[in-house]
Order: sequence, then C-alpha cells, then structure tokens
Amino acid sequence: MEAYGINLDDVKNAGGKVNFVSFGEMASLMKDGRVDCAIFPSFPDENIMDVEVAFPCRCSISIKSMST
Amino acid sequence: MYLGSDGITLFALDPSTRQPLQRRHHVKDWRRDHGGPFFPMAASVNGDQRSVPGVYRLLSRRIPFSNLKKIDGGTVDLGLTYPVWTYDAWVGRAIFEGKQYRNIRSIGKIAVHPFQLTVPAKSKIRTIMDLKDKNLAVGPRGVERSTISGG
Repeated sequence: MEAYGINLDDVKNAGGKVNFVSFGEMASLMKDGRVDCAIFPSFPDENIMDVEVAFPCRCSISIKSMST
Repeated sequence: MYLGSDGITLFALDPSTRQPLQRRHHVKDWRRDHGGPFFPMAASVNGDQRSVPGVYRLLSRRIPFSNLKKIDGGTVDLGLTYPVWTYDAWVGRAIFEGKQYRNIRSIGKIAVHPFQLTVPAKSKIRTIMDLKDKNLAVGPRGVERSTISGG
C-alpha cells in the first residue's frame, strides 16, 4: 500500500480501522458487513469463495483504477 | 524463461526433460490441509478429488519453495509459487543458496496480483486511496512478508 502512497497509519489517522485477523475471520467480518475491504493473499481462495456465497465481490483493485 | 513479475505463478518442469503428465504422477496441491487457492486448478486438471483417490496430496505450509525444488527434481509435475522465490531459485540465492534451479518453466498465472483486495461488488471503493478511512481486514501480522519472501 505504501507504494501507492498510503499506509496503515494513514488509514487509522483518517478514522479507519485495521484488523489483523485470520483469513477465516476476515471472511466472517466481511460477510457481516463489519469491514469494507479484506486483503486475501491468494486467489481463488476458499475464504473469498465463502464471502461470495453471501454476496458478489470484486477482487484486486487494479493499478488502472487507481489513476481514475 | 518467463519468471512471472507478480501474482501467483504456475510452474512445471522444463518440457524438454519432463515426462508426459500421468495420473500416477499426482498433480499436487501444495498449499494447506483444508484446500486453498490451488485446489480449483488441481481439480480442473485431475477431476474430482473424491472420484480419483490419491490424485491430490495436501501438504502443509511453507511450500512455494519446496514446490520449486520438487519440480526441478521431477518428483511433481505442477506446482505454484511466487515470483520472488522463483527468481531466488533460478539464480541460486537466499534459501536456494548453492544451486541454481533451472529445470523449471512457467506455464501460466492463476492470479494477477499476490494479494487480493476484496470488496463487495456494490462497494464504492475503486482505488487504493479509497481505503484511507475504511475498516480493513488485512490478515495476520506478517503474512504479507511471509507470502512474498518466505521470510
């Protein structure tokens, strides 16, 4: 994230929150609507698929989209 | 040889030395014991796990560098890993110090990025900067470093 001009301190200073949790818990938090974005280390991933059962997701915010 | 610049890369033996892929060679899912991202790939290659006993062998963690060694040695046919580790294996540095692993070839990529920033499809988050004041789940501490570098 720092390469893109933002780090986790920026998130917290702006009123956001950073959760260091297991991947399974990340999926649960996302399904419950308690996090806005979850960063998974792989794709396809059983945890992303778990969230997808609840509602559609988008993955990998692209470099292209960063410039828009 | 294309080593892959990012993401998760699928590797196989150098075609000039590799034997034809056969079921007895067992395409292996080297990730975790509960499945993982490589499971769909392996399933598409070998069919349903339940109907083809022994096709998979699910092993434990710290496997991307083991994959490279096993592919190079010809004990498995396909494997997945990350580009940084592949480069280390190719030039023989870091954990691969003492040997250059050159009997490997990239045959494809299963993920464009090493990390998947996942949001609900209806989310207004479109860019990295949109994350600034959001509630994020980033995984266990240190997972990024261990995923990318094996450290």
